[in-house]
Amino acid sequence: MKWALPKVSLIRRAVFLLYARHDFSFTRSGLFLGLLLFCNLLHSAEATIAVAANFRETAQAIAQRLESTSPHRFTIISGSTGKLVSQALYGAPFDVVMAADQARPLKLIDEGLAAMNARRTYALGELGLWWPGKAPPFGIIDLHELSPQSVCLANPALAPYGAAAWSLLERSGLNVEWLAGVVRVDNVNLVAGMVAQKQSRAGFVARASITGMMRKGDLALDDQSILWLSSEAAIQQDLVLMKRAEDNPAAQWWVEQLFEAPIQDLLKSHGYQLPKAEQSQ
Amino acid sequence: MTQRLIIDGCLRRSGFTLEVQLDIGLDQAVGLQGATGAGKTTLLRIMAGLEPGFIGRLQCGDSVWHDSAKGVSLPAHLRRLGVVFQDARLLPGRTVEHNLVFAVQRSPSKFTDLQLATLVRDFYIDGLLDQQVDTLSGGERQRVSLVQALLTRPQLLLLDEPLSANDSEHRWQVAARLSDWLREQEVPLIYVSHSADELHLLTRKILKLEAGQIVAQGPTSDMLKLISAHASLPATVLEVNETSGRVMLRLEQSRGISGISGLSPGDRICVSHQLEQDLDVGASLQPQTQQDE
Amino acid sequence: MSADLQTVWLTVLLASVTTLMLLFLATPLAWWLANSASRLRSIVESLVAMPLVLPPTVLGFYLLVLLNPDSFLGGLWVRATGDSLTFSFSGLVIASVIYSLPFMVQPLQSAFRAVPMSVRESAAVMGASPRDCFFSVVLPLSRRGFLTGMVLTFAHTIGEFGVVLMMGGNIPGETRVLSIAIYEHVETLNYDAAHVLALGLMSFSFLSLWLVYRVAGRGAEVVRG
Repeated sequence: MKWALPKVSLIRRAVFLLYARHDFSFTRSGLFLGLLLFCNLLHSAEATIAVAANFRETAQAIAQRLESTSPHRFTIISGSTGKLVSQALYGAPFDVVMAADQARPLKLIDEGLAAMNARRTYALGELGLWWPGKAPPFGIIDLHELSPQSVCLANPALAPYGAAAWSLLERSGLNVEWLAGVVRVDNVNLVAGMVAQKQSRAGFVARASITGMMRKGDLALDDQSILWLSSEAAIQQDLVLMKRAEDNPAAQWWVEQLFEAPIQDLLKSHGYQLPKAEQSQ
Repeated sequence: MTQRLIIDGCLRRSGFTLEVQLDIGLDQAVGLQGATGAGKTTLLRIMAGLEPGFIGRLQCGDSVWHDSAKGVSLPAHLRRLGVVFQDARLLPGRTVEHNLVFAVQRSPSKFTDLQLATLVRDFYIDGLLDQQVDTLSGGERQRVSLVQALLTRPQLLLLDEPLSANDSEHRWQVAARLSDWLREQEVPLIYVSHSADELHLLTRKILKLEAGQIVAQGPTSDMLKLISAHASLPATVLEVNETSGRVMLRLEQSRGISGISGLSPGDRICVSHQLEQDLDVGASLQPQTQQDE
Repeated sequence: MSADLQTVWLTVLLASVTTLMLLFLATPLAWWLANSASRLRSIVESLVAMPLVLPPTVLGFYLLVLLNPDSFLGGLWVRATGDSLTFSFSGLVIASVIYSLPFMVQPLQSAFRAVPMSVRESAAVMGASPRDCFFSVVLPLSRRGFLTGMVLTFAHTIGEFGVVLMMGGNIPGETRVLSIAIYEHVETLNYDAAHVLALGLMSFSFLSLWLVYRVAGRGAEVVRG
């Protein structure tokens, strides 16, 4: 008759040791913290560039160009300016923040996350009202022909392009109730998508989005269905180099190269105007 | 060694109160008798340390197991008891062998393979070792539970109707084996049962419980209120005469009849018997006017 | 495509780390809850169950407030590691542990409760200390609870979105998990990529649930003391 005692498996023994010692608490919390800290080591990018949604494709093109001519590596994170800045305020690890306005970079400086002299205007964006199928000339006031649910803009609370569009709408004489029904999306890139996909009849887009779509061949554009609004709404786009990146060579280099000829040409081809040689404030 | 078991305290539950003052020697096995609900199981549980609501004092031998006044309470797993509950609880989802090994692992002393095998055979569970515990019959579960309790080499054995689910085929044999084992190992016993025969075989003293109080205690034979002795009498049937109804018995000499009082040579007694299928014939003796041979 | 693979890997890593941590954190908690008779118990049970009903954005928001570099806890972390806890993988782990806590605690608590007291008493009188009893009696009998808890926690963490959106951002290789990637693909009108990830996620969720219901749900073999 065999009396083999059941072997206590190795795993069970390990689990037992982990628990049996120090009354469930000490070793466990050590492991917990250790695991957390280890996860922290997963960080890999050299420089993290947060860019406003409208600048996304341009930034990716710049990154590609710069990575091919240097050892630096860049991670591009895009979103509406407001969202990115909010994340930065809560600790997001951005090295450079490229906004679509001036106010938000100033806020970062106010909160002490960037130095005063680290702000520069890098591009001038352009807002347009895209209304496919509408014969020109038309003005913003003509939008009343459509139901507000088929008009789209970026959320003014988060996106400078959206804020500019909204102030134009408010000044246009359209009635307040109508305005309340207009569709707001998270960022200005989405507006072009909505209109292109016919989910909206008209939308306030960034020139960069349109240029991008034309470049991809998604759009055979007849210019006439877009009303460019640069005279009424100039979008001055500023960037800041964050304090945390002051010793980051990759981040520094990014900002420098942005104002050199090759990248400046790239910006122009993507639909941006270049800032006149502006003094950094 | 006259170990004494001293209990003095009470346990209150909704609808039931158990109050007990007890000071008995454990050199002789003790029985617990009483109607259902009288508190027998509760008393055993208190001794085992499974009733946190017990207020009072409990001392076994030299060690104080529980003293509410001083805030002392020895946990159940340190009391070195063997307990068989009425519902014969075994580790579910495991084999009988696993269950027995569980007890062996926590036993303070070692067993040789032969000892284990003998124990298993003596209690009629040797064919069951590989079976899942959930497939056992009630009686089998009780026997396994009993062997588990013995394997822990307890300093006190508490048995709560441990043979109630066994058919009469096994009951006597197991009770007898148990009695032998207890004598061999010198383990004190507290035995709860409704069966007068079992109590008589295994115990020398009986406590009677009623509604949570000990109402009587005394020697077993007195407590079982027999005018005379009541013993189990192993014998072999030699001859059966169907027409006259007579049965020739050969009483086994090696087993003396014990526990009989009030008989003297020359008394005429009546042997009333229960016929079993097996070799043994259980019988009881009562002094009467006839004697069947 | 490799960006998406990195996303999948990151998501699996997050879910695995979370499940492992919860295994160690939730077991003693569930054990206490299963055995406790104190008045605190209902409070703790409610707290544990909160992530079930709380909008994930609420959780994400409060974590942002508690763990950002300007806060006390976040500040400690920055001093220790130089990096922010918010918008980092470690921060996501903390968020996921809280977010999936009830998914580990509740199945474990039920499983522990289902172990008959009679069996535990029996083990105790045979000489098993409470710790011994836990490991040699309760744990083996609670295997199904552990399986359920681990699978549910894993699957739930894989599907996490609101919390990650709030305090994880969308940082590739760090906090860009599957659900966020799908969201971004839709945002950038990249519907093909969105389909691939979404269908994959849906199949995975279905498989995990099926596993739980089929294997762990076979509680028909009732445990009788």
